[in-house]
Amino acid sequence: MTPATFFDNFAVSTDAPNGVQKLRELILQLAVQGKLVPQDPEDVPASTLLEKVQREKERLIKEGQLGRSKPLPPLKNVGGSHVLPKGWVWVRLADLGEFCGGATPSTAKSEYWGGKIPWVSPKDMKSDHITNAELSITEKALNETRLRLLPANSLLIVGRSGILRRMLPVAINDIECTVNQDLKVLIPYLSSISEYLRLMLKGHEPMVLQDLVKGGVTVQSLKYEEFERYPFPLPPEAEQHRTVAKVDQLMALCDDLEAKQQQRSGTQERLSNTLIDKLLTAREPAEFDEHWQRLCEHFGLLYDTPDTIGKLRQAILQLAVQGKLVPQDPKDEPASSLLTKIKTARERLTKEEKITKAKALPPAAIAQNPFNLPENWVWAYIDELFDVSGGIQKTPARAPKDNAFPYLRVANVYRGRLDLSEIKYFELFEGELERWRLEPGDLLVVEGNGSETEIGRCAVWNGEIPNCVHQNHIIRCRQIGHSGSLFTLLFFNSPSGMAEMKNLAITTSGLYSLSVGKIREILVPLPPVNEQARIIAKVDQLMAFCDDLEAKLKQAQIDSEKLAAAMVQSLLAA
Amino acid sequence: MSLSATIKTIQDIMRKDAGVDGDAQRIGQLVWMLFLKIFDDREQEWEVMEEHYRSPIPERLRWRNWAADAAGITGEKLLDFVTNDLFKTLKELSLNGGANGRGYVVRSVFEDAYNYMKNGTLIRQVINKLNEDVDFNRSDDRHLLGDLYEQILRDLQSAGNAGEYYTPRAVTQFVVDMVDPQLGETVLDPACGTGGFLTCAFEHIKKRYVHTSEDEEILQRSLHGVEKKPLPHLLCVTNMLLHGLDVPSQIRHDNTLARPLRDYSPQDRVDVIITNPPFGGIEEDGIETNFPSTFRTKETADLFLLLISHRLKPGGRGAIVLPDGFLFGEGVKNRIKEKFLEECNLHTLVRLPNGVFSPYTGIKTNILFFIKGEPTKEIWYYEHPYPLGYKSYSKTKPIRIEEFQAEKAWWNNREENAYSWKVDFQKLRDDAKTRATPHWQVAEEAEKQADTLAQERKQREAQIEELRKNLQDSLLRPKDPAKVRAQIDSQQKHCDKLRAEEQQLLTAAKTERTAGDAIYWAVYNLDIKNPHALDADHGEPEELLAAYRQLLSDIATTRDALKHELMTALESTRK
Repeated sequence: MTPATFFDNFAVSTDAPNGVQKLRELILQLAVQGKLVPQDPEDVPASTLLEKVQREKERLIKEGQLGRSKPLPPLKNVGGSHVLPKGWVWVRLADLGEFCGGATPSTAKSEYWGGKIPWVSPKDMKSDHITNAELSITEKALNETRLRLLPANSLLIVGRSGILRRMLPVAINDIECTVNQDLKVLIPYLSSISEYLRLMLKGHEPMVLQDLVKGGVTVQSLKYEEFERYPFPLPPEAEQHRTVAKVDQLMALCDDLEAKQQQRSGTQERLSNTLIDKLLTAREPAEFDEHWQRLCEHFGLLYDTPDTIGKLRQAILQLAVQGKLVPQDPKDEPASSLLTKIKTARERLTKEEKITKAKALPPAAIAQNPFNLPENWVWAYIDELFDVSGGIQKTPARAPKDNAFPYLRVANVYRGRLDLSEIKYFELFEGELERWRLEPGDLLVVEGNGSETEIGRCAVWNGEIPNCVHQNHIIRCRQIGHSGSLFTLLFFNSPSGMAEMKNLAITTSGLYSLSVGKIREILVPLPPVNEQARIIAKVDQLMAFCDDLEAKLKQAQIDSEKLAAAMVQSLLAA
Repeated sequence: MSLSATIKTIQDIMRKDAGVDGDAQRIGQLVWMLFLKIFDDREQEWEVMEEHYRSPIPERLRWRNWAADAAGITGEKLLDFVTNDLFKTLKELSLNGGANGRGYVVRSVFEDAYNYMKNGTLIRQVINKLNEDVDFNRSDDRHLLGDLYEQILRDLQSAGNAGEYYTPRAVTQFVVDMVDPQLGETVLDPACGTGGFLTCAFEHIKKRYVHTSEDEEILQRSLHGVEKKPLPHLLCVTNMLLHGLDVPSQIRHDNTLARPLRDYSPQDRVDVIITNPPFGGIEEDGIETNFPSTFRTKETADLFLLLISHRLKPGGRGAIVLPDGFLFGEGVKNRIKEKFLEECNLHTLVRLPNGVFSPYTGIKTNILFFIKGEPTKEIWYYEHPYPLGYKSYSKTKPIRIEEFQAEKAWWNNREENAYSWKVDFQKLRDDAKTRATPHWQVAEEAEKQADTLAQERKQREAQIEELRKNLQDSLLRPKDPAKVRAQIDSQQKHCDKLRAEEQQLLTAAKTERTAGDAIYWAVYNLDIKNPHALDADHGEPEELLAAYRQLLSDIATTRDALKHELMTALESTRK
């Protein structure tokens, strides 16, 4: 692949998940190959720099600040066929500075802790420059342990941590500090080159992680000996400074781009929430049309990543339960007469003592309704439409023995679907099966959950297992006549329904929980029977589209990510 | 770091002792030792300040004389001394020592305390550790005891079971600053815990209003607290001593709720009540019967609210920390709120975010500020925001007093802003009443009609009974039984009809009544959300769309800049 193809597809690869991250790696790796800034033949060559470093080292030894160490053997036959840019040399980290480690003063001695000297550990290594540490130690600790106060502009390298599986944290300390034993420190003889050395290590990160890290039982660690003597290419000092400046400039742009990308998804979510909310609260048809129009216009803008499809599904459900998804048919029997029929049936069943008595509630008509309904719809309480009841409590007496029957638990009921892969059994006694047996069309609502988003999770039972009962944490709503559990299910899963459930589920203790009583008081919209069927068919059809769209968007994302990685790879190889 | 390390070392020592079983006993052991040590420290001060000071504790039992010397008595001898001399004497301390009731304090502490440790050498080790590491004499360490209690609570892991939470110092400080108790006013905390509110109030009055030694004496008498649990009570007494309240005998070990409400006479009323009652805690059976039957509940916090509004003088000021559940609770809670808002002017409600009581509980809480003796008119709400960059409070990032600067500035110069808003409660309630009344009237009318029908029906039923008797009675036997039977039948039919009508009326009445109640009680839901909150979901779509488009074009610009830079760089190196 040529650089031209890379730049032609620049937008695709940077917008891919991790796209900017890949770009950062590319920049760093190009930088340490000398491909980011032009070489200048006028530059003093790196070999001269090495001599300068050597002189500085000698000076330090003479002044007694540094012990004399055994000289390293000269570098021979390095790099093989790899040709360095003009003016560059091969160099080992041990040639450039002094290595040292850290330690932890006894934590039992409180007089060692909380002083003025920062004590850096891997958890402080979050940025390129260290200006502070979470923990600090006292002068006393410094004097009484083998800890060394490090001069500013040293290179702190994480040398022992699980993080070495995927990255090599390297930072420069802007302040004098001490470190713990998991950090390795390089104190360069010439502090003017530390910035480039940091860049050099980051640019060779993939190689270091692959070749110079050994795995342990629990953590990875650097192979110090090899790490100190590994040959790296080093440019002339002037070129180093130019490269550092260029990388800083490009990284700042990457930061900016990344921040904006993040902001984008937040704004997008807010936007779709607002548009759905406007649909929900619109009282006048004209107002509704206006918002709907706007949603349609910006459809592509709103729903262009897999994550946004959830919002699209919500929009569809909201439209469905407001009666906007299919046209009303004036020939349909109005819902008011459906409600009367259901009421009559309910009274009859109550008299026959087959279901519990209706609760005294203020008339549905005067209650505060969340939105306006089409002409021939009505609002009704769950209690008017369904026979709501709890289930069987799990007790030791219920352990399966002679008369075991399957029962549903919370783990079986999800939003809009059932998971019947694991079914447990209850012992039932005389007459209990008849009382608690589930029937096709029963709406099952999960009673409580610690998580806000899972409140009122519900699904419809279709008789998947014969003679199945349910636990008390699942509340059963049984249809009366044609009250329509499938449509109510749509409502419960719509934004309006979920908001209502959430309101109801708040308890004094801060946990969320519903109850039979609370469910009975929920107001739901009731469309004519025929329209219910039309709406459900339409929703099914649209949801299938959503699934398809989501799958394709996901695939597109995966492809773009692969593309980004492939392009970076080929550009580096070029 | 040092405090928790010290406690850990001490606990490790106690763990070796065969007599101490579990954390609760370890803490009980620690507390009496701390008390003696602090009492001794204070005595040194009193000896200088007061002429002829005489310690209520016999000379040989004073901390300085047996504990302070690290090489003092130890082993069997020490154990024998503690159990047979120290405890025995202090539990039965005679109170004519003339030490201004200080003896009473010592005795009451030792009545509740117990020496669990069975190894004198280990006792000596603990004592020495305490002498070495814990120094309450430094004034900046005064609040250490609260921290200590918190540490102990965490170790016990039992916090929350009875709804006991340590109130963060920022909250107690803010409440005291706002309620501003004056010199000479009686201040009460009926559920004082370790005395967080009381010590804050003490320091507050002392700093601002105490100028002479007479003032000091008045202050000493004006603070009162009650605590139900022995351990926090002990710590509270110690805490008050530490802060310079010389005779903390006004801190009683008792359950405030155990006394019937009506038994509190006007003399028992106080000027200021500040408290953070345990919430979610359930009182034992029988406690609620001390309250009028309409307000009976087992929820501790609600009972405390009733008690507080009862025990404040007219014009008295109160502040109470309550969970959100109280604001939106229905049923009994509604009736309690109705009474409370009628008796007290709830002028300010500060809503605190999640996590103020971390790590014990994450629930949201509120501080209610009110004045007794006038009905509530306007309620000002203030929603306390998290400091910038916080998502919640935690052990390491607790709520800080500086955060309340905004509230303090706003307090005397109130305007609606992004965090505060005003609710005209009186108007809301009057409106609700007006709207609910027609429903209630219809209900009443229907009930009245049903009653009239019932009267008539009962008369007729009596007549039927009469006629039936006649039929059976041989003496009164009517000439024409068939006619009488027909009469009975027709009366019976009439009765059935009446009964049906009556039933219908009653059902209608019930529906109307629930409708009316629903309207009326809705205003007692005080859980009112901030209308100025920048609710992400309620922006204007057009603006959001424009912002989104702008963002997309910004992204394109940045991306192009990056692309351009990179292209130039790569090209320059290839030349």
